[in-house]
Amino acid sequence: MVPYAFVAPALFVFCAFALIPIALGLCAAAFRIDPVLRVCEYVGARNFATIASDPPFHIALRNNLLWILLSIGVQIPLALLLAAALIDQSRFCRALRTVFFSPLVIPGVAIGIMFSIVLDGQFGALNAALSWVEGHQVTVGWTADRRWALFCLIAVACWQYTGYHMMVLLAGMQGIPTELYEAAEIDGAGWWQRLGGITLPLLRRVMLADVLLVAIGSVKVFDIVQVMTQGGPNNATEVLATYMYSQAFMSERMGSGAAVAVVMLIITLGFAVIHSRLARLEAGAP
Amino acid sequence: MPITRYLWLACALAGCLVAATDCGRPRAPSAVVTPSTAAPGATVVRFGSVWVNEPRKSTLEKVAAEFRARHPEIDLRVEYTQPDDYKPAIRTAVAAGNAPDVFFVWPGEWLRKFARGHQVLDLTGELAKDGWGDQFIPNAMPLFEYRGGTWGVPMLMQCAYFLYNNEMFVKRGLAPPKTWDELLRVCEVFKREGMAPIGLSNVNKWPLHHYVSILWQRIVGEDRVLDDYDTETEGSFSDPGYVEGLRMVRLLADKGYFSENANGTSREMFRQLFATERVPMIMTGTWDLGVLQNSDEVPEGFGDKWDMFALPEVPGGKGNQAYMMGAPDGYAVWADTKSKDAALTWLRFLTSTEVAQRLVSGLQELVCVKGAVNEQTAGDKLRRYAADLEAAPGVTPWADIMLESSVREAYLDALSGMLDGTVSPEDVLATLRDAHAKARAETRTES
Repeated sequence: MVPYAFVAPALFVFCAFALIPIALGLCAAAFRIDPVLRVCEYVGARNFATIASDPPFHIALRNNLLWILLSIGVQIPLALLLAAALIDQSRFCRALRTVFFSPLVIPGVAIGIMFSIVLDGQFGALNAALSWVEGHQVTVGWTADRRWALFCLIAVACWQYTGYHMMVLLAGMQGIPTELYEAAEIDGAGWWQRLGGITLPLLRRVMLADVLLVAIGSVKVFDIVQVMTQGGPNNATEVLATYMYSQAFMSERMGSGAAVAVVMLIITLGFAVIHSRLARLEAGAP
Repeated sequence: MPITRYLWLACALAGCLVAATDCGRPRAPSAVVTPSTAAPGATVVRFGSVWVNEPRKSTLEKVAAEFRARHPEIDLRVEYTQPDDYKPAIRTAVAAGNAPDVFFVWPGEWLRKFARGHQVLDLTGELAKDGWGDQFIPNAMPLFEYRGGTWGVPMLMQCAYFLYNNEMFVKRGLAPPKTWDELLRVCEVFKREGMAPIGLSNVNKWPLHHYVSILWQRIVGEDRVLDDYDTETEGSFSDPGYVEGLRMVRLLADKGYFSENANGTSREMFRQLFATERVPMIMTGTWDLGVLQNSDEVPEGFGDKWDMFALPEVPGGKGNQAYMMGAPDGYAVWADTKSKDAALTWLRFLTSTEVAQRLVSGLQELVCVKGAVNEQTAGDKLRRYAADLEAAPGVTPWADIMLESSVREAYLDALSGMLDGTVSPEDVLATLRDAHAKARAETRTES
């Protein structure tokens, strides 16, 4: 019993704050729930059918997919380059690492407010800078124009999280024996050759885990979108989490909101399974 | 110690970044309960309020302190929640059987749902006692009435007006428009000069629908519109005036009469457009009167530069063209309260003429109690608004408080699409009809 006693506190916390809420969420997705009307009616899979036939849900799914792809495509290469460039233990590099990491400590809501002001079509700093460069008044509605809005939000998320992924990759890089770099240097390998020939192959497993973190984080994204566009204009920047919030709290469809949460859980678990398979293949497991 | 120095540097940098995002400014926390000073054994009354910002909060605190002094047998505890967090918070509290005894409500469908769920008390009998119900201004009461009962009492009345920059109008020899066609002519004058005539903020999705709501009332008629909003009736938005109203709003967007990027413009930036004289007109609720009259947000003396005019008429429309558009907010008593008498004592005190006058003085907002707005308590514009309201034959509510929540969300999303030209007026109406039909089917299942 002693081993169980050791894990009991952690198990209790896990059950109370993760397992049981997930189980309740799964149950809620099969009910029509309205606490004000005191209604709790079993509806089977109807909530899933409702969201599946709702066009904003399709937009949210597509936007999340785009968010994942662009986040991986932008954050991982940028983080890798930053980590490779700032691996040095000099004061300058350490200071820059702190600077790049610092957006992570700012709450997403604050970042959303800050970039709403920067990207404002009338008074925003970005348009003011572009107006100065162009020599005439620029009034692009970065978050109002459906052509730009989602890309602006993804760019803000990349600004916030690239520093974090830089730190993850940096930790991985520090585990690579320095002798390999010294030998390559003696053989005349340049910076890019060392990056491509030593760092990347030996960092593969860390990068795989990091890609998974980016993907899962992109599925859960909520605060920046909610603060900056509320999923608008006309659902153009809707993502699964804002759609879930909108269903549960704005449209007062708690069951449908829970159904969206289940979809998010399935997607996230899917990524975890893919990661675990790839990791096993990497380790040479049968 | 370099590490310590870098730690300080990181903290300073983080502090700067946080300060740059305005997080350093003290804000009202999401939910706060004022400490109790009552004697042991006193009856506890929990009061759920959304008055988290100044001057509302300090004014309410003074009134609450006076109530506690007069009624030591009642332990009044004010619980503040941010307005944006309030709807989910109060629903959760009600579901958990832990709602405040008296809580803030928006009338219309939101309050009706609480009534249908037997979550709030019918105050009809109480309002009949001692003439309590007679002291409220008549235009404020109808939205609290439903299925033969009165489910709350009104507090602050908000209505929509066009605000205009008087100097900019006078310079061009323009007078405030009285009809929709006159409004279009005024807009054209400014547009020809390359200026957007009307400032609009629609990031929250609801501001644009105020234009549609008033046009529907003017064209279709107030009774028909209310009937169509209601999911318990056979209303189906079939009047051709609905699509006509939507087309009239679409025309404002197509002609460039609204400020650019309205779907991404926040309320603060919207006020700045008007305060910095980039636009000559805005349509807004009376909640903005105080901010634009005298606050840190506007340049000194700006309050004297602007005036307001009533929402334009649409000649030939089926509605009463003298109607105003707006709604009061108010308070309801939780059905499961264990302190009903004490809760009602507090509510009567809060809505007494004496306290209402003090609230008007402190807030410069229209409290829905007769005699609260007078020369001693209110400024010119507030007095004019009160006189307009008294003279108005009725007040049509904005659609978003009358529509069932899922209908409202679908409709407002479609409207923001109409603003950027991706959804046609006909499709907005089709979306509304479709969502409304689904909600009506659900309402029938409920009953």
